[in-house]
Amino acid sequence: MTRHPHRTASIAAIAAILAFAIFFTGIITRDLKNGLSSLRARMGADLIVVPSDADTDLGDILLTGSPGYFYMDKEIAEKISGYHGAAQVTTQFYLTSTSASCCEIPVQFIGFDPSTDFVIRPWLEADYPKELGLFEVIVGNYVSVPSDGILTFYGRECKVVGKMSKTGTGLDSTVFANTETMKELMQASEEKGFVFLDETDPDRAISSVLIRTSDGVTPDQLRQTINKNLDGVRVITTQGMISQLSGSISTLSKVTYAFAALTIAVAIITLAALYSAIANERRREHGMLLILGYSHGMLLKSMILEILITEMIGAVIGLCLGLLFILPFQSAIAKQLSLPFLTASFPGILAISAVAVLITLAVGPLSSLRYIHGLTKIDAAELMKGN
Amino acid sequence: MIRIRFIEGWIKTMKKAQYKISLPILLEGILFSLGVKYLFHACGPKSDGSFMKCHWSEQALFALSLAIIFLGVIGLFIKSADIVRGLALSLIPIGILIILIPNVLIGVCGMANMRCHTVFIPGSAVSGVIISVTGLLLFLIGKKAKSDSKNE
Repeated sequence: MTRHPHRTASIAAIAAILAFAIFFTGIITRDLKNGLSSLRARMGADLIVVPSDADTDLGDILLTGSPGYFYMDKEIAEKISGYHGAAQVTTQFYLTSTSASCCEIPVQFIGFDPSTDFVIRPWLEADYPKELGLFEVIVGNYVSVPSDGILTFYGRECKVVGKMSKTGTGLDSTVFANTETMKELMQASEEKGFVFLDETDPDRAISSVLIRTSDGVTPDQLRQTINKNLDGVRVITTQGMISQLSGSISTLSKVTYAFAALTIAVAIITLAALYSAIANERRREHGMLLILGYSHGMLLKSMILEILITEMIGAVIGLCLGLLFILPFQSAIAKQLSLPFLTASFPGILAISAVAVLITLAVGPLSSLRYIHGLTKIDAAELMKGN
Repeated sequence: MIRIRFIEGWIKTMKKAQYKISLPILLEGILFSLGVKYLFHACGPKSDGSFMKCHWSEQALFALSLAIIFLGVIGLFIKSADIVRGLALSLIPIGILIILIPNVLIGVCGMANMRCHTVFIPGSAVSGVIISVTGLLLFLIGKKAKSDSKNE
């Protein structure tokens, strides 16, 4: 190994690239799956009804946290409550902040009706089991909270009573409050000159209606009923949203797996060529060792150990590069993908690292099979004769 | 003729150990300054033209990059290999400062999904680690080169 440092470095470099590629694939696919599971767990409703002329896509709000607002009359929720198949119905109110003490960019507000809500309360139970009072808010994981726990929105001070754990979705940039707080903030925003509502009565304005269907009625059936009887609304099935995202994530995962598989294949081919050259070069050396008393078995063990040590050095370097360049940039990657993305836990990262190292170590002996097999066929005497 | 001799002399001196240390330092400083300004820069100005905290962290890192460039340049003109090795060693605290400035000493914006959190902090952390490690390696390489030349 030390006699040919450049060659050893080349083999280690190939192993490093391989370990890096496998680590990258593992981290990205695991984070995407975690994000999707997190979103799925938070979709308490089967259907979401929004205004058909909404400027902001609901998916952008839920996935990336892009602030948005749109409104319709509460009458829509009242009508939906009477439809067959609507087991539970609740409303939400969206608002964005443009001048908040916490943030230099707008944050998304989501106001919910505590008397009917069945979506948000289950998320907040773990962090704050009590009912939210007036000007009490719970914030997403990305929202920075000052030491005094007070955030000011449109000149109104709100007390932060809880901070949600990371979800990997747009909810991490969201502030949750009850309907009363939202109405106060809406009024405060108008006092500051921000107009969110054009003609809709503020007391009757809602942004979305969330519905859980009853047993025996599918979300598609209720969706058709709503589309048939109500104008000016768009009905989104959460299952459809999840399926679409799942499809995108599946495609991306397949691409990254293909990238990893290609890297493994190229590594095996390149290393096989290298080991073939090494085998030819070291034939006399191996013959000499056999003459000196080495058995074929000892020779094999020594060669495999040499291969594994070199591969291990490369794997460790590749992993270190992965930890240095991939883990810190996970948030940036998530932002670019605009898909739910929840970073893997420490045990998860350890597991992925272990898999990367194991595969890299396995590639070495695999690509040197011909070389190793050749060792067993060496006839020392013939070799010393020069054949 | 004098000009050709000067160039030959310059090429000969380039092979000296201190140049092997100073040129990487200079290159590192240039790359880091470009990285801070164009690659992993912090958030831009607000709509009213004012800057957020992360901008001042970026400015501080840019100043440190200029300091690294300065170290690289003066190293090219210093004849003593030991002094140049000392310049390499000074990259270690500089690298640590590069990590500390956006995280502790000055800080960045509040929201965790803003550019300064997702790109600027990781970029500066990676750069800080690379600069510190490079400084240590250049110091050690310089020590080995010096001991090799003594043995000759």
